[in-house]
Amino acid sequence: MHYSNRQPPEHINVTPVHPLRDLLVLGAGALALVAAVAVFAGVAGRLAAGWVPFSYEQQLARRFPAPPCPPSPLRHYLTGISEEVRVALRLPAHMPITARLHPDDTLNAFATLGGNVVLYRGLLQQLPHEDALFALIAHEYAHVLHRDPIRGLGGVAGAQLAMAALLGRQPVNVLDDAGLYTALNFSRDMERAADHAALTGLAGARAHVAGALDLFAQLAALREQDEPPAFFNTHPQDAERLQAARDFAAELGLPLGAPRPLPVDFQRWLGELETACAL
Amino acid sequence: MLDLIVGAILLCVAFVVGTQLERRHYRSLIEREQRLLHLPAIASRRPPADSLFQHHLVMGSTVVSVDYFKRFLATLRMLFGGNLTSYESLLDRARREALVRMKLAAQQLGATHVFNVKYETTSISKGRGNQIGSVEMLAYGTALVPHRAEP
Repeated sequence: MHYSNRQPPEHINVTPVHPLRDLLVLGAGALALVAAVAVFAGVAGRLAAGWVPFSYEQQLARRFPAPPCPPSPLRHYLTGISEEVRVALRLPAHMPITARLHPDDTLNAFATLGGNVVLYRGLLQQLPHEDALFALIAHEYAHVLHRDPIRGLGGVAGAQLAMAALLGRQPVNVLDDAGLYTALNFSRDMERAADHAALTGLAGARAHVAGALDLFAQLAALREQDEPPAFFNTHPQDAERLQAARDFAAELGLPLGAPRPLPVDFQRWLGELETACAL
Repeated sequence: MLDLIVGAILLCVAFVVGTQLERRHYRSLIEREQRLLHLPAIASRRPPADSLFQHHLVMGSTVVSVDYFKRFLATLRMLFGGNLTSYESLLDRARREALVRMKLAAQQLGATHVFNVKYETTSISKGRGNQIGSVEMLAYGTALVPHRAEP
């Protein structure tokens, strides 16, 4: 018997496909898949988190205690405004809010878990009058009322867990990486709803919405400076917010109104704030 | 962002270098396969049953590693399923290289045939996420050395 070998033919065991074409097709498909999973998981997480009882949120937030503010004119004044906002927004009794003052000059304010609202001195110093302060506090309190912090956290956690499962990585500590006590990422719809709630509360308390209009205008003016405040990053466009406030006033037939001024010593009180504290 | 840039650079470098190395290896393989065509490697288990030949175990092995580009492409493919085409050429080269080395070993013994040729594959190291890092391909068989051709 005669045995022989032939030169093995090429491209039998190797699929003749260009690797770059493969990369483009698979890469585009993977990006689309990841984006779809992230969006779906984010939405699902956001919806599911709304069912978490508020008491659980408060337990999470107990990790970050803040000392109470010492008795002072600033504390007394802001506590009064805060209570007025609570009544205007009809916040339920089981949803206590802790407003925290921070002496940092950051132009920011945010709502976070457990009914905590952080107000930075930098932004408070820029407010033109009391009604703008009312509108600012009402906007943040509305986020708490709408459970936006836990829903925002649920969205981030859902997306991160889905990515960990899809990409086969170790699950991340979502409670740390989601920024438990930093400005959580609210959607623009959440921001619009908070604006609307603030306008409603302001109209009920002051019979006009000049405070909100001036607040949005002031924040827009601050945005044009070299260092735009972080407060804006996830918010609707300024023009849209102003127009929504004007439409709201027109719909209810509200007058422009004369805003109530801030106390004469308000800036001095803010200057005397030395450490972060809770009202 | 830095991670993305570094990853993109690695992909480009791995693709260019890996493609060049692969083409060079295939050229070398084809040349050596043609030089060893006179020494058939046969999968049949039963060599000629006569006393004209001495039987020797011969083997050839190679360890190949997948480059960063191929591994990335395979990761994308594993999301959707289908042929891991990026690994096909790697394993094809490994098999052919192992076979060529086995034939070289047989040639050095003065063999005229290699029977009962088989392959074994072993994973040497795992990459990140338990993916293929490097693979050893072993080809072995029974070399038939004519009595008159003993070294």
